[in-house]
Amino acid sequence: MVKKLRYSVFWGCTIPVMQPFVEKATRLVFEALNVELLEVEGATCCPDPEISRIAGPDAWLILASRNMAIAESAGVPMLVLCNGCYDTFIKALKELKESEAKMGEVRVALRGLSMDFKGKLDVRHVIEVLHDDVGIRRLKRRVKPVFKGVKVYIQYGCRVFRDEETKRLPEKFDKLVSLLGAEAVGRLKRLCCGVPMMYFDESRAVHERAKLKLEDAKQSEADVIVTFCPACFNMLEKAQLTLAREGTRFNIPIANYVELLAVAMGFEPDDFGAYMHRIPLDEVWEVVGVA
Amino acid sequence: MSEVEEGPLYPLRKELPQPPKTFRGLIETLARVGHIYELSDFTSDEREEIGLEPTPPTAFSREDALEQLKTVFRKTGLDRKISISVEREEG
Repeated sequence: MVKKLRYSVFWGCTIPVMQPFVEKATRLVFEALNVELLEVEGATCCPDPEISRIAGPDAWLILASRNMAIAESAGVPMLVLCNGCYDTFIKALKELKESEAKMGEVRVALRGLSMDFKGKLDVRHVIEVLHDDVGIRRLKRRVKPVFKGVKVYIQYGCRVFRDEETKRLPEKFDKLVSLLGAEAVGRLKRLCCGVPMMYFDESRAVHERAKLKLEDAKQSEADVIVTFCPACFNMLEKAQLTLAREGTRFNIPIANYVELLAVAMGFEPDDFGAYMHRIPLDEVWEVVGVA
Repeated sequence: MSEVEEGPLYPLRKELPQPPKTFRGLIETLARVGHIYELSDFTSDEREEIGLEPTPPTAFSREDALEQLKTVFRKTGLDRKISISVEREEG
């Protein structure tokens, strides 16, 4: 009997609103893997590791701790779907561990909200949960390599290159992709998609970051760009719509890895609402035989 | 290695004395709904269509969570720094 894994799940702001099909695919996949997901009731934005952290570092730290305090009270690790949220929580925990004074201030602020935070929460990226906790062996028993013949451009998301804690995530992401039977392609996989730059200069973010990635994906003959990061997903999809209006068409669909995993586990794209994608995945589904 | 390959991966890591004006919109939305995006009726319908709760059990549906966020904004002075109002809701 396989031990049932339990996590508090932090969905972030983007997935529930902009990519509900990712939330649905995640729920389907984890239920099928006998993993229980508990809601972080009353969560707010993580808050985001760029704007909020720069604009109000104290508010950022307290609100990140508030979200972690809710998850910590469930007594299980917290599964984080979004690279940005993961970055926030890892950074906030590090700040609190390195400074007793900051930890003290945060605990005082949270007591004012009738909450407590011990700082003991285990924050797990979805890559770690799939690769390490569920495990490649267990996944292999559930997954069929149905993406054989599909060229996948892996978009790691720049936040996974930042710290000691995250530096093994790209390698694990690669292994998860090969599990699907897909061929990984691309050269500029480490390049930022442009999201942090977008807050200052949207045009530069599109033309000097996203476009470079899209050109690289096109040159690599990628059928789909796959990512875990909902911000990269949004950026690379929206950039294509902007560039198409200017006459440059890429038409490369973006998918969250969990969506492909769901299909490799036997779910139909319609089961999780893949038809909501702004750039349809129809050609990929045709190769896989689920169109 | 060229700049493109290596890339300035993270352009926004320094704390600034005054946040740029472009930050205001995002912080304002955060103060209003507790998230950086609003949940429209259209999205709620889409969520329901695929078997999800129309409104997630977060600050979108929890007034107490939003009030706590506003309290943190007020106590840390982020509301004044960004020039937004996060007054306590009446009633």
